[in-house]
Amino acid sequence: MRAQTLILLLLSVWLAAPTAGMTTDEVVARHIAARGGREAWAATGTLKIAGDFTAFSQTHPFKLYRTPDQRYHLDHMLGDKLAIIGWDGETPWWENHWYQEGAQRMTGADLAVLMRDIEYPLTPFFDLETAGHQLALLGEREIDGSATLALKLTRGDGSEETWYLDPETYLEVARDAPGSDFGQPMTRRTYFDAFQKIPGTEAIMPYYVESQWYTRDRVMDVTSVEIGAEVDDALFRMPPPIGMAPVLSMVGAWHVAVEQRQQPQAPWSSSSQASTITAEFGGALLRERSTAGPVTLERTLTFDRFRKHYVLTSITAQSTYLDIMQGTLEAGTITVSNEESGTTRDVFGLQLLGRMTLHDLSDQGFSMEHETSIDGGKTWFTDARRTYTKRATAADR
Amino acid sequence: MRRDPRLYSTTRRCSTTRRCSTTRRCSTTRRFGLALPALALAVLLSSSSARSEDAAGGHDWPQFRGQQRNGISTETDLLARWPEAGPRELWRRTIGEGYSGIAVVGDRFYTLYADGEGDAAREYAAAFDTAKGQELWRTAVGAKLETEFGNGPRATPTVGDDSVYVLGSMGRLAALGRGDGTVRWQLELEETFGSERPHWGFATSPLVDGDLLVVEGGGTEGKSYAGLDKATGAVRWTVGDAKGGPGYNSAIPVMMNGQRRFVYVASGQIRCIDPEGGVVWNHPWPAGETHAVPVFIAPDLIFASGAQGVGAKLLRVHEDGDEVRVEEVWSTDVMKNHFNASVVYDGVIYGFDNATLKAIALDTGAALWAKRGLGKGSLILADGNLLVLSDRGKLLLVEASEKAYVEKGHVQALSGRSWTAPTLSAGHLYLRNHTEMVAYDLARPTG
Repeated sequence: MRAQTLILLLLSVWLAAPTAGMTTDEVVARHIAARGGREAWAATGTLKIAGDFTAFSQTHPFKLYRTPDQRYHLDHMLGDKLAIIGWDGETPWWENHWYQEGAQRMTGADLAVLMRDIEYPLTPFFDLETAGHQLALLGEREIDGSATLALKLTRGDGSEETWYLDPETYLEVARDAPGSDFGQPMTRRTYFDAFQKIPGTEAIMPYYVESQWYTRDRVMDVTSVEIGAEVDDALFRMPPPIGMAPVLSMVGAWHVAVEQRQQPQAPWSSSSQASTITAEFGGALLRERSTAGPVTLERTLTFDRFRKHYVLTSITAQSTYLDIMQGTLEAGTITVSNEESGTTRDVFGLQLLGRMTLHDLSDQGFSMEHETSIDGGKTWFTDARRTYTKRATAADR
Repeated sequence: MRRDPRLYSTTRRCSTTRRCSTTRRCSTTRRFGLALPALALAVLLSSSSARSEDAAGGHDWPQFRGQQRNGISTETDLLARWPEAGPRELWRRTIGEGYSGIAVVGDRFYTLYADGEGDAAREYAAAFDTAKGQELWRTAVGAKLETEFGNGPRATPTVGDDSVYVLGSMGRLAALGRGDGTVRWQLELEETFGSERPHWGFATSPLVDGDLLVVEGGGTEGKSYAGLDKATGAVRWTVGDAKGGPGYNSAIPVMMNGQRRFVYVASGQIRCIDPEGGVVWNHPWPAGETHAVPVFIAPDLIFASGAQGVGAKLLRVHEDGDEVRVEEVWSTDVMKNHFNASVVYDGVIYGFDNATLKAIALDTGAALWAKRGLGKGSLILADGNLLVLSDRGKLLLVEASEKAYVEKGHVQALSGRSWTAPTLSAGHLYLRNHTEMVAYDLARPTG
């Protein structure tokens, strides 16, 4: 009798719960309906979201672009430092001035955060099957004194997170998910508040999103949402490293017309060679490798973002000596020399200074000149000219 | 109304069962003897112990976190609700960078700030008149600290009989004449205790107790904390373990078992020492930076909380003659004070769980209510209300209630990063951030 009473009591409690007997599919369906439904969201197109972002107790404007296929671009400030985060569907990247100037590929715990953030303003519940997520109903949980309906989400990559839904509205209240503090993995709790319709649509989204972890607090306070925004695809792509954008056109397969001479009065001798220039380390380093008869040359070009100058190195199998030149870009011409780097050569008691200019850079070609000085840089003579023109590759043909 | 208040300000939506448990908590509170109002508690402490600050009058706020270093003012007759435009602003003036709190005695207040550029940049201790906020004197206390989260001094001055005790970020500890800022004595912590400046600078606030000045020396080899002759700066004793090292935790005065003691967090311990520097008890505490000072709840409880995933603990100290036992009453992760500490009032702990203002039950540590949107704010308590400053300068009057977050007024007092806790003295509330100070009149009009 007592057992029956207990069963009835438990049954009555269970039936009284708003989610009693609901399956995860039904909870998900209610959640999606609460957010306006799939059709409403499909009609929004690319979103441009703007407002105020607070980090380190400092508030600044932010802009966020999100495409229906989850390409993402967030331009904001973390305290008083710029942070741009992007995802073009292939390369996750950010330019986080707490780490460094210039864009870099996002990895590790930071990437785990981005892969969740790019879902905003949607939730993973919209894309469970395609993404391979698993969902389990955990039941009632309390968040800061309020009852919520908790669900455990296991993503396709095996990572787990807990979502807390309002048991009456089925809108999300909070999420506990893998986070990062300067690359250190730690759980992050994100709260979702201030739900309202996106103007001109039936789609509903949280306009106030706050994340807390460790000693951190981040608040995204949305003030405007624009649907169907037109954006340049380049916005989502990782920008080249600092200083490298002007020289990336040098990447490719080239035919090189070479002119050389030993002395100022000596006649020029002409030859030609093939050269290939590749971009490495996300475009941070250009590497040229060319062969002319027995001479193989390898040259690299990069930009030193700390000292704000280009660094060009070159070595040949003949010289077996690495020449390092450094210099700047002015009026479309990069001029580098070894005067400052100290890799001048000593020949027959003379100190030979080298200087190189790169100019007329375009998609179709560029030119390179090498000069030498034997009087400490007072006078220079040109001893090599290399003119690069696009070489048709097998792929081109 | 764009906000969904039910979601945004989560008060406890509890079942009847939970409400009953709240009632039980209240009865437990009575068992703890914690249902005393703040005024009675302060009177009890004052009558049974040496005052923490010999210069302080009844309405003074002579040091970090007030007379008892508990964030509670004993003042009454304050506005119970604020007009829509907020309380009356008395004055506003610019100030240099720093997070130093404001100490008030009589018609003067004291704080630290940074001024100057490049090699000429210095930190200053300064006195101001309370009526207009005009600077009366300033004295340099070392070079300016520059960090990625805000430059300038962190420590709050402590006002004694005739001296103000100040600590610059670079470790210069000085006694300055209250009248004109003349240096009576000074020493460098690094030289005296072999310490190394911590990343955020030397940031603890000196504690005056009789003729003793208790300071964090920050040294290793038993020189973590020190007792100095406040008249001369002579070191009387040091205490600490071999590892030591500086932290950010100021000592609080406690009266336990009829004995004067000091409690602080350092080197992975909550430590209680006596006025001779003897260790009365230690209790393990997670290593790392614990900035928020502990809170003493008479007669025998210590509440401590830390961020960085630490959480909070309530300790009860059992003393029987030479026998001392520290009992961990509860621990919780629902309250993680970062740099601003909690206040305890009428059986409830109010504080910032990182960036969420919360009330939790003193007897169980259970969450009662939570309010987000105030960032990493600070708070003090007076006349039954919380005076809360958001980390972006919004000042709020909030009822100190276990039931729900009830706001009774607000004003945008400051802009930008506002991490310094409010100071209340003689009905006037003093606030500061990195660029500005402001004073409000919170006194209830008479007549």
